[in-house]
Amino acid sequence: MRLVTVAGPPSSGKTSVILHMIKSLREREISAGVVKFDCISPDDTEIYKKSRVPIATGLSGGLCPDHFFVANIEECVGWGKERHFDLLITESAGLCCRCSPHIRGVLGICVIDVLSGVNTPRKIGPMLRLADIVVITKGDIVSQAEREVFAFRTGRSNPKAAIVMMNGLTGQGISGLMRHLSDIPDVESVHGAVLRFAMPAALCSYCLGETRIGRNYQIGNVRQMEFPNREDPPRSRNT
Amino acid sequence: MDVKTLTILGGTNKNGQKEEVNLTCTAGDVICVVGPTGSGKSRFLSDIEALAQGDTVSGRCVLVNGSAIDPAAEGAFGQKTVAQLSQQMNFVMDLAVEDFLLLHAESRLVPDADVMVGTILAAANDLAGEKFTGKVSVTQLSGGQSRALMIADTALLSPSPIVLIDEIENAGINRRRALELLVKKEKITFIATHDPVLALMGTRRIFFRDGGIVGIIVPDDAERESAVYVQQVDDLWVNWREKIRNGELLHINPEDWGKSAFTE
Repeated sequence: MRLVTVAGPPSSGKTSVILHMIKSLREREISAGVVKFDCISPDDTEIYKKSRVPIATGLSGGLCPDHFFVANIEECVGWGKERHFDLLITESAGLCCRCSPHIRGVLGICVIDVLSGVNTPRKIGPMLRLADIVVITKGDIVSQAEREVFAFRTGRSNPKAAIVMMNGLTGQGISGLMRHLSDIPDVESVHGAVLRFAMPAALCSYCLGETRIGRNYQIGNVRQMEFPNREDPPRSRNT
Repeated sequence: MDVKTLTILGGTNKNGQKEEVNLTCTAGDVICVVGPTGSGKSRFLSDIEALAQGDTVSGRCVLVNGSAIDPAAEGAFGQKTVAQLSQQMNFVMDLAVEDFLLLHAESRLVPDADVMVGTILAAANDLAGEKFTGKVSVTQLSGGQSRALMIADTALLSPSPIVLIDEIENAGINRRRALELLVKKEKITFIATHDPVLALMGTRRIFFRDGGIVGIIVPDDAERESAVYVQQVDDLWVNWREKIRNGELLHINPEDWGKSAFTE
């Protein structure tokens, strides 16, 4: 079975891009399933069901969505193999800019949209910088100049990635994306596989449900901000 | 990337019938794309944008310099072969025109960015009805001004050797000048349009029905002469529009009408 990880900011068009991918795959008689990772609401699950796409949903709820992903990906691959998919696609939503679900040896796709602004490619961290393919959506409604500037800046953040322009509504550009998917590595299992980038650390009282504000309530791996023109230098605290 | 020729090999139309087309365009060509709405013009432009390899709905193949393009050759910095301009495109960056053009020039690694910005601004003002400066924000431009800026910018600063234009007729810009600007740069230009003035400007015209190309017309001398009259009617129309816009009463003398329009 082949595995693809898809990540991107909310409402960038991940689900639309994946649905167009699956439509093209079906024409080639390649079966695909999706695992949708989300934080709060599993709304997009219905969209997949409507398109008759086999779907499993993982709601991270109160847990860090990135950590939730990595703790479950091995079982996702197991599910995909049981169902005999040719391809399993994971869609990670609700990730922060510091997150990245991409795994070494597994094709990683990042979906971003041009409406998010020209500085976005720099603001999004490893989920874009370490992706193999960056799909840029919503280009049909902005000027050629803005598309070029956006693509240029994306290339600057990730010079190795293939950049594909795609319209998530009509599917225009899907043939360009599909050409990059011709040799996805085969994955027997992700057991022992390595993330391309370490996940953000989290080990403090707030991880355990603390809601009160104040130093007295902070235990564990917390760090204080620095402010300009302050005499008292802040310190990292590991209690 | 150097594009000398672009070849379109037919696929199938909406009824599954074979499209008997083998069309080769060369640099400087202007291909007008006409047909009723829903006849497949936009899909055709989309095939060119994707440099289709029989892998789109239509099954068409688009060859560059006689061969299928390698997607890897598209360039790591998104250096696309095809630039596109359509009625539904807008500027969304909140920047002054000058800063916006500088940003674009920077992404194109243009050496004398300031000079280029001045050139584009002058060209855009030449096309637009109402003049504008480089200090105004791109999002505040009028419809015609922003269309003019987009065309000038695409013609002068986008490296793409193939340009697709989907409907520019409603913009209130000088369409003939716009076309001259785009063609001068030795690009291959495709224009989907319902506007007779634009449709007659092409070096060739392809017409669509039921999702497929049904014919390719090369304008003959008689049509080129007729195009002059179409342009005159358009000039008249523009003149009337200006009068109404400027708050004048429009008085057309029926005796003059028909004479002045075509005999002068």
